[in-house]
Amino acid sequence: MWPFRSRNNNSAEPMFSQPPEQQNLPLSRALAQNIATLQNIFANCSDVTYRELIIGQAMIPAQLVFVNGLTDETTINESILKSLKEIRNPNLQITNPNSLDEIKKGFLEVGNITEVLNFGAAADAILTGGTVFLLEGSDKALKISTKGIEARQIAEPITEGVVRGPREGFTETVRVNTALLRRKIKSPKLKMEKFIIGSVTKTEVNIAYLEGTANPKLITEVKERLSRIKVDSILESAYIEELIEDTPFTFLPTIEHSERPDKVAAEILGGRVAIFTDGTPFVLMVPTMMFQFLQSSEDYYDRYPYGIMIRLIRFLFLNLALLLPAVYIALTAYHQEMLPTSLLLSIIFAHKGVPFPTVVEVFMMEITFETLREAGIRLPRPVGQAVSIVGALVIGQAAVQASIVSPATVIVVAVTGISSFAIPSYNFALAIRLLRFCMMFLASIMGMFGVLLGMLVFQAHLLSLRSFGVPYFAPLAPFNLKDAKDLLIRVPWWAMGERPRLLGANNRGKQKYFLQPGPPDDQQ
Amino acid sequence: MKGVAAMRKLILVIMVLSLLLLTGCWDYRELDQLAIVYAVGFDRVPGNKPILITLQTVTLAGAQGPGGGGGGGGGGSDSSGGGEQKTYTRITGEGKSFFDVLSKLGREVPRGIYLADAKIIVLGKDFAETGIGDILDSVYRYPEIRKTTLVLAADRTANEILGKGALLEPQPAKGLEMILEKTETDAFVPLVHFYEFIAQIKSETGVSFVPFLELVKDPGSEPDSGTKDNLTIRRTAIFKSQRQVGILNQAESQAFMWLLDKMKGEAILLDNGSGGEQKGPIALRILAGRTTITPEVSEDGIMIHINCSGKAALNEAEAAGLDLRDPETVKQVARQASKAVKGQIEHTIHKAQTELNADFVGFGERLHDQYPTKWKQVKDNWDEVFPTVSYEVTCNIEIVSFGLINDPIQFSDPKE
Repeated sequence: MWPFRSRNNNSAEPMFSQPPEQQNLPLSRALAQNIATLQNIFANCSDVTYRELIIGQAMIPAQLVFVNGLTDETTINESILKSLKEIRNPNLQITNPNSLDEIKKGFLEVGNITEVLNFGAAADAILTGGTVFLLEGSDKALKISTKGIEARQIAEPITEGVVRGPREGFTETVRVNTALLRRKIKSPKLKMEKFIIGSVTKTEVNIAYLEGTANPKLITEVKERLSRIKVDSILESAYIEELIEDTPFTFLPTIEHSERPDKVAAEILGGRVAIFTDGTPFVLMVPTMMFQFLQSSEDYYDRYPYGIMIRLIRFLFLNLALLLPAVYIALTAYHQEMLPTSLLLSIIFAHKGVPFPTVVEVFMMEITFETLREAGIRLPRPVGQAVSIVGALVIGQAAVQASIVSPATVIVVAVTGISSFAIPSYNFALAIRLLRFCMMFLASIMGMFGVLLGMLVFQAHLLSLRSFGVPYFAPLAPFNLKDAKDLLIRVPWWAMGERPRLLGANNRGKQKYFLQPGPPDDQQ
Repeated sequence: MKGVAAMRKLILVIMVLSLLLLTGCWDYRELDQLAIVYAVGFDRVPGNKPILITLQTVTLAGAQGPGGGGGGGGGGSDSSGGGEQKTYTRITGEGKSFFDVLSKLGREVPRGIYLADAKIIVLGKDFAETGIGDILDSVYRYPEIRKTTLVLAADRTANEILGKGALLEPQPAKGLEMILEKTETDAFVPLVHFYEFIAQIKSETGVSFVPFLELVKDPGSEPDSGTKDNLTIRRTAIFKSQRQVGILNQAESQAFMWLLDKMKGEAILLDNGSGGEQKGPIALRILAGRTTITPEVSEDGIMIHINCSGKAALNEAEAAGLDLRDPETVKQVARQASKAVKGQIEHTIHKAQTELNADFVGFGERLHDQYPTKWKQVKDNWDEVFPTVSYEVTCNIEIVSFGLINDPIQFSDPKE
């Protein structure tokens, strides 16, 4: 069947969820029974560790249950085991129902401790890196936060490099990521709300927004869309992206992602909502307008004249990346009279002796180029270099010398390749690449008319798109002069008086007006 | 049910997309299937196929064998370069009309004849003199020929002249175009585009003019080294009633440029034989010329006031005793120049009125603009009225620049 989503379709329950009876089964007072149940839940899980203990003068049996590797051994050894061993309190008895509470209050030297009442919560606690403390004679257990997984260091983001600007990037741990954000925005108004998505993976997802600035309706909509997700696994933010976007049937990405804390902070300050997903450094930001994909965080860190220039260049090269091969096909195959004579002659001389028509040539080269690029990304780095050398030699040199491809086509394909690299956003560049092939197809059957037709449809599609209710092509259409100050150009910081109208409507002012600096007034 | 609707939608989309393929790329043409024509020449030949068309095409060196490409019927194609690789090929065809020739050529030339890059249209001597009207309509109608193509007349057949090479440029037609483009800074002949030519022919007076292309002997060539001729444009051909009626020489062409209000960059050489003190030549270069032509109608008839003014630079003043620091001397030279220009213009108008009886100077147009009622009266017998139109030329040249030095160097004459 056609994969149409339906908003009210809740019938599809995830296949691998635990039986609810076991989830809600309360803990019993008998330790042995509790342990047996847990062992039943975690059957064949060799990484789950059970540590038996005898506590206090009354020799109460107890157990610690945790997953080896998810927990910090130092915390367990130093803060839990050591302090439990030193318990000499005579009040602790198996029959005393408050024993657990006293241990919690008096002995455990760990900050974050909560009580768990049933096996579902206990299992969740164990799986998220907590240590569960079970005591004979108590129908509660303690969840002791001992999270301590080996995580990647905070490193420079690979996909979004800058010359000037912060060098830190997000990691795979959601708490580290939110901390990186909190470090940038030290305000209680920065809210983070937690969701657990994925019935099997139980992935922690956080939405972050600036209260008072972000539109409350937007926040509600984000929460609503997130809570509608009923899947068993979320391994990357892309899963979420595809499950919450407005228009699933489009080439264009309608949700931006970034692995730069400074970029995410800037977007949140502008009234957007960020979605952090555990296990990936890529943070989603909604809503997204098309022109954001053409902006790099460095536009704001370099001085504004250069920022303006580079943005205009990017826009130019976006058009080249989309249209150059198509226009080349159209002009050389249909509208030769549109080429200046000398250029026409150069192209004809270049094409001399090439057995294929220009259309075939361009398609061949474009596909080869895409393959080369894919190979360069996917292969191990040393091999990737070999691939690029082979590509440059075989395609740039041999194919031209053997008159298989004309040099003019090689130039066109190369310029197109460079142009698509000039788009800062990788996922947007992917969309443009796909659309480029559509344009080439149209150009090869209908010439310039096809290109125009394609652009008309593309433009209409762009204008119809929305991202969380915000027009995708804003602020160009619908046009807003005040928002356009940060569109194709970037005005200096002292002139960025207000937040974007569509996002920060509640709290538009962000700085004093008339901040333009200058030499001091001469008073005397 | 949703799936069925979606399926229908999908099928519809696929059907619409396959419509695109039905266009069948009907006007697809590969670049190497084109014969790029640089120049089109028209000639008239006796017989029942009165039109001879000569196309000068770019030879893609190496793509074809040395010596140019395949044979053409009719007049045949020639590549008279001997063993040398020629950069252009002349293709010739005969027929009853423009399209007759084109379709015949299509059967002889393997490649598609591609006229969109034609730089010039050459009207051969016989063709121009016997009348051009019958063919212009079909040429002007043809979408591939640009309306901005330059039109030239020639002193011999277009067929012959399109076989000659130009100096420096591998493509003769391109070279001619470049020479003509110089008239924007140095107006020696009028630059006439195809659409302008047609507009002139359709104008009230029906008089048109185009630059005149001729072959002249290279003065530097050895007397017996055979024909070393250069393509040159220095004169102007005048057409009346779609027929070439006369040619303006170099000086007349220059005066004509004054009358067209396009004077710029041309040199005025002052003849100094009679000046007494002055010996060497004086040359002025007009930096910017301006001409106003004002008709005046009174009981006596039509009077045309021609007023030209210009700023000039003194380029050559190798004349003994010319003290350029003296403003009087400068004024003297300027007066002399004005007089010379005035004489030139008067001579040209005289030629137009008497010898050619062709109103290329635009009196009729001016009259039409400013005295439409009078024009209506004289329009039908303008040919009789035009020679009687009186005119008055005033000319004022101002010298504004002397180049880098003030005084002529005055090399001493060894005889003295």
